[in-house]
Amino acid sequence: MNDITLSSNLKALQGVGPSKGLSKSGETNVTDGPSFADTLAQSLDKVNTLQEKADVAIQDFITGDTRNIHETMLAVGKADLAFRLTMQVRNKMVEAYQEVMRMQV
Amino acid sequence: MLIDKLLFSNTVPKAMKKSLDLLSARQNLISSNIGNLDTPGFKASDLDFQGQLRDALGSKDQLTIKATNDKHFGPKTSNISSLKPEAFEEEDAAKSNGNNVNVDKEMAKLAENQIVYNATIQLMMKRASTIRAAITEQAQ
Repeated sequence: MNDITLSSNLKALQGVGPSKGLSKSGETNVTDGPSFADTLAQSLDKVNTLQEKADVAIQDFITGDTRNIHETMLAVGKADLAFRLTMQVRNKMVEAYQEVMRMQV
Repeated sequence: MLIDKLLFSNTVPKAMKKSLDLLSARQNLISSNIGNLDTPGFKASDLDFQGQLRDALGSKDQLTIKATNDKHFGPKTSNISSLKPEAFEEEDAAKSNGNNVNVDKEMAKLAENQIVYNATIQLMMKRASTIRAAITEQAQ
């Protein structure tokens, strides 16, 4: 069976980064920053954490641990917005990839 | 059903649904209290389910067991759906006709209950709209 988990697929992207040939000067610019795949995985993690936090806020609200309706609403709204933003970024990325794939060489 | 397992296996939607059920039961109870304002011998009653709901969800302070299979013992979502809190009679002093309904108190409870109910509905809608966005791949 094919491994379709996120991390295994992201590993395949590890090598992707700024191409050395594209640097303006002839010297090789090795960037020490996190790779694109790391950044993507990190932001997905953050969105997941936000959603977990929103669920905890909802639980607190319905069990009466907090009567802060606004805080609960804000937590859920934040998680919702973060998810939508990530989804749009993903949509744009897929779109760009397909655009490149359609390009005539 | 498969779709329930995929999308709603989490405890939070189940707890929200239960909370709505109990809030509406409480609303009925409060309305009946107000309706029986002048009934001789009537005793006002109320429903307190939040403590029991908290226990069914498992406290955050203590270690909890995660049930990842139907055959596992321990806390399950069935704890939440089988929750049946009993109504209790209020202990306010009775009037001369044996009736102990306190209108101001009941009105305040009615308003509070309504706000919590509406807020829970809105939270449910917000959660569902996130899932809907994921399904349709459209942000709206």
